[in-house]
Amino acid sequence: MLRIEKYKDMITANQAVAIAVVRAKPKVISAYPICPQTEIVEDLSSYIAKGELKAEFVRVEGEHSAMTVCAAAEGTGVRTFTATASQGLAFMHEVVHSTGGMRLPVVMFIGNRTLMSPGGIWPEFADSMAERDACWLQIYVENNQEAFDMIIQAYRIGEDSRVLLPVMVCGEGYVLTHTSEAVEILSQEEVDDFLPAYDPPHAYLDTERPVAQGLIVPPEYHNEAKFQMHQAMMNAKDVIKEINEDFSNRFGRSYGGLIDTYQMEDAERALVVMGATTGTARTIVDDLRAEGEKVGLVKLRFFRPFPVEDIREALRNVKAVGVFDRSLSYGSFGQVYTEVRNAMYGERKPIINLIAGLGGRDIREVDIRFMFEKIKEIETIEAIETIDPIIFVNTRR
Amino acid sequence: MKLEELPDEGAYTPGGKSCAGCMAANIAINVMRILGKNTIVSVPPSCMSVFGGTFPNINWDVPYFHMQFSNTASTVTGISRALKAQGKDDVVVLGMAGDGGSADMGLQTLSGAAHRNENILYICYNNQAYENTGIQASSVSPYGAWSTTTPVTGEFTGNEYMPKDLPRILIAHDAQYVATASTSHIQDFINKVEKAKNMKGFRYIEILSVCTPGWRTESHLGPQLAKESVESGYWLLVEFENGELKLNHEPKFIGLEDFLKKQGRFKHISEGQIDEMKKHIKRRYQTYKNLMINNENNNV
Repeated sequence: MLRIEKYKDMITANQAVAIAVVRAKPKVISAYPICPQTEIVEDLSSYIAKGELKAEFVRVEGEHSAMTVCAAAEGTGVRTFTATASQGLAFMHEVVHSTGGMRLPVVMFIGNRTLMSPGGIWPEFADSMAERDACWLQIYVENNQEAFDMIIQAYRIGEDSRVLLPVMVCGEGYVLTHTSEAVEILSQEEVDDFLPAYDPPHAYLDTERPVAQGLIVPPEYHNEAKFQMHQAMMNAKDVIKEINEDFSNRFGRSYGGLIDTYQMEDAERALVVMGATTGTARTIVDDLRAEGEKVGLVKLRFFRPFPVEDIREALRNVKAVGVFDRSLSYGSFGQVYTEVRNAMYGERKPIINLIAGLGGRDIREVDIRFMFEKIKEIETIEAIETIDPIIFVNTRR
Repeated sequence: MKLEELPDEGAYTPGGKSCAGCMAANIAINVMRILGKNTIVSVPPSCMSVFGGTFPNINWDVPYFHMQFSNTASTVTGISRALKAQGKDDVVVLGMAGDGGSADMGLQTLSGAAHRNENILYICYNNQAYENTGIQASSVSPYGAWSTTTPVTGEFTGNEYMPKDLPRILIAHDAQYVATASTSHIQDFINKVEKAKNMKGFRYIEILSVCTPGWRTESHLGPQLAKESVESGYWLLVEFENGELKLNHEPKFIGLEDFLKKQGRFKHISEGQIDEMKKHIKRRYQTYKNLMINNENNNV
C-alpha cells in the first residue's frame, strides 16, 4: 500500500512522478508505453487497480490518442495526467498544440529522450524543445525531488484562472527516470491542502450549459485569441513565483521561481544550465571557487514562459556567459542559447553556446570544467562579433 | 420512434452554411432530432465542422468539441470517461466524422475505441471522398469514380481501387453495435439511431451521405440517389448487434447504371468498369451473407 503520511524513500523520478500523480488525484489518465517513462504508466495502472487512486485509466493505442483523451477529458472538466517521451511526444504533436490553444491545463511528464534520427533511447532535450511553440508551460527539473514537487505545483499553476494552460514537466531519461535518489513524499493531507480538488470555474462540456470548444476561428478573431494565449503565458511568470513561495513556506523547499542561481552574487563568469546537469555543475562551481575562480550558475527552470527579466537580472554583472544546450536547432544554435542571447539584447557581453550530452552522452565533470575554460577564454574579448559562438563539447570531428 | 413522431425541432439548429442539397447536414439534423439535448458532440475538421461550427456561429445546440482530423474516436472517449468519472452516465457522447476521418486517418483511434468498447456513439457520414478539401479520393471512394486525385485523362480512368468496407472492419472487432443506414430509408435510419442512443458501450453507424458537388450531380438528387444506392445493392443496410448480423433490406440489384448515370463522377465509366463494380457489389453482399452463418439461429 502507498503510505498516505509524509515519508522519505529512495526512488526513481518515474516512481516519484507516479506517486505525485496519485497525490494530485486526477480523474482521467491516459498513456501509452515508451521508454523511459513507461514505469510511470505501469505504476499508475497498479495504483488504480489497487484502489489507491480513483481514476479512469484509458489504455490507448498510441500517444496521439493519449493526449487526445486527456485534452477531451480536461475539456469536460476533470483533472488529467499523461506521460511520454521522444517519438511519443512527436506523435502527439498536433494534439499538443490543440491542448495549449484550447487552454486545457493537462499535466504531462516528459522523460526527455533524443528524437530520431539517429535513433536512440537516451537523454536529450530535442523532444520537448520541438514543442516549445505549442503554448505549454515547460519546466526542466534537476532531480527526483524537484520532479515530485513540480508535478504537484504544475496542477496549481496550470489550473490558475490567470493561466489556464497545460504544463510539461521535463526530466532527463535514465539520468533521472531510472536513478534512485532520496525523495520526500508529502502526505496526502498536505497535498490536498496545497492543491484542492479541481472545480473549474470556466466553461467545460456540460449539457446543462452548452459551450463549444476548439472551434474554427476565422481571421477576424484569430489575432485576439492568440494574443490571449500569449498573455496567459506571460501571466504565468508571476503565478509560478507566487506558487513557489507558497510551496516553500509550507514545505521548506524553494526553487527560486523561473530560474535558480548558484554562487552568482559575485560571479564574473556564468554558466546557464538546465536539467540534471545542474547537479554536476554545482560540484564544479564549488571546485573552481576553491581554486579562486569567481564562477556561478544560472539554472534555467522554466523554458516557457521564458524568464527574460530574471535572466537579464541574474547575468547583469558577469563578464562572460556560457549557455549549455542538450539539443540544438540544426543550422542555428541550441534553443536555450538563442533565447538567452535574445534576452541579453543590448548588453554587450560575450556569450557562447556549449552543446553537450546529445543522445545521452555522459556530461562529465571534465566537460563542465572545459565549459568554464571556454567562458574564461572569451571574457576579455571586446569585439564580441568575432567570437565563433557554438562549441560542441567532447565531440570527435 | 415512428417517422411521424420525429420532432420538427432538434438539437441541430437550422440556418447552416452547407452546400445546396448536402445530405450530411440532413443527417446531422435528423440524428439530433432523435438524440436530443442530453448529448455532447465532437466533430473533426471536415465539411461538417466548417458549415456547422465556425466561430462565432454554431448549429449544434449541445456542448461541442472540435479536435483533430484523425482522433474523433479518442476525443469522444476522453469526454465519455470524464463523464463517467463525474458520475454522469446518461449523456450520449457522439462523434460525427466523415469517411476520410474514419476509414483513413481516424481508423487507428476508431479501432482502439471499438476494441475497448468505449461508451460512445460514432456516426460516420460517408460521402465517399475528401469533399471538404475539394473532392479527393479516400479509401472508401467507389471504384472508377473521378475525383481531383483520381483524374480521368488518357490512361487514367478514375479510382483504381475498390472501397474499403469499414462496417465489416468494425464487425471484425466484435463491436457491440455496428449498422449502416441511408437517408432514403428513414424509418430504418430512425430505428438504428434510436437503438444506438439507448445502448451503452461502443456503437457505430455509417450513413451514406450524398455530396451533390462532389458526386457531380444536381442539388435536388440527394434523396433519389440514396434510394437508388440501396436498391442497386451499391449501399447495403446491415445491422450487427451482440454478435448477430442482419440484412435490413434485401437489395434488388437493379438500376445501377441509372444510379451512375446521374453522377458526373462516373460520366466516363466503361462497361468493363461497371461489370467490375457489379462483381464487387455481389461479392460484398455474399460476404455479409456468409458472415451471418455465425448467427446463433443461423438464419442465412
